[in-house]
Amino acid sequence: MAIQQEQNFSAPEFFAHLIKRDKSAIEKVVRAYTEHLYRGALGLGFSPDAAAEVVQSVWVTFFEVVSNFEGRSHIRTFIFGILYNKASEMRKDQGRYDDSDPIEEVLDRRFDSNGHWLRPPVDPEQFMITSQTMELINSCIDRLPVSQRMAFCLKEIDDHGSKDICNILGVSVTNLGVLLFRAKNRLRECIESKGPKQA
Amino acid sequence: MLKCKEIVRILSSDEPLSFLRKAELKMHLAMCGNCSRYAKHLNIMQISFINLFKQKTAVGQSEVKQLEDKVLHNFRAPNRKGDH
Repeated sequence: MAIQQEQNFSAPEFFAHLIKRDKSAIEKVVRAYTEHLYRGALGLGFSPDAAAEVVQSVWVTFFEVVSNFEGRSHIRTFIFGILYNKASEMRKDQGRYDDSDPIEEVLDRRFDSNGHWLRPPVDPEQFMITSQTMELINSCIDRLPVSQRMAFCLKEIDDHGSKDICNILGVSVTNLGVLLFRAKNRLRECIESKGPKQA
Repeated sequence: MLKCKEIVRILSSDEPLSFLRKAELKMHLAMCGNCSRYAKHLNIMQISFINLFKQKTAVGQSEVKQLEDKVLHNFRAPNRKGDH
């Protein structure tokens, strides 16, 4: 569904209508962002049924809290922030940024004290663009914490800018870099370990 | 000079780079087989991930319309305020 009239959604008057639960305003915003949300939930690994439920619950929360929205961010950012919280809740994953993560140690062990490769990346059949790689990624990505998965999804897929993504996840730009770093290295390690072993 | 470990961090964290840093990165990748392999891995992973994501999130318009209608219907239901 088209999001062409996007600018209108950020106007204070539009929010006033939403807060008053103006029917046509509700209809406009729901029709504009439901597909986006639904695809986001599917991308986060929810089944179609579960994704549809998540989307409905995002909208319920959205209208509960819309009066607190102070227009600091784009409405889409606001809505995706709610999606992120729901997904974290449902996955029983706090979705918080952690200072430490075991993947950092795994990666550290690949380097010597001078920062040179001790265990370099394999030369890989499993790193070809094949349906097998896609299957591997599919099984590996389900193991990512929600925050890392969401960071990776938003970064690679959507037209969300870094600032948007930081607002959605509630992290600083530096921490977003760390989340991406962890997500990508987790995935890469996972694919490498699960792929066809080299002799 | 950038160490391999720093290259890995730069590549995977999408850190914005200065012109000088970019040149340094390019030079390192041109000389270091391990890091360039790592970069290639990331690239393939990204492409595969995007393909996968497109597959997973390919939804029909009728499916979306149905969901939108459901959401809107819930808001029109008379007891919408009573259940939270």
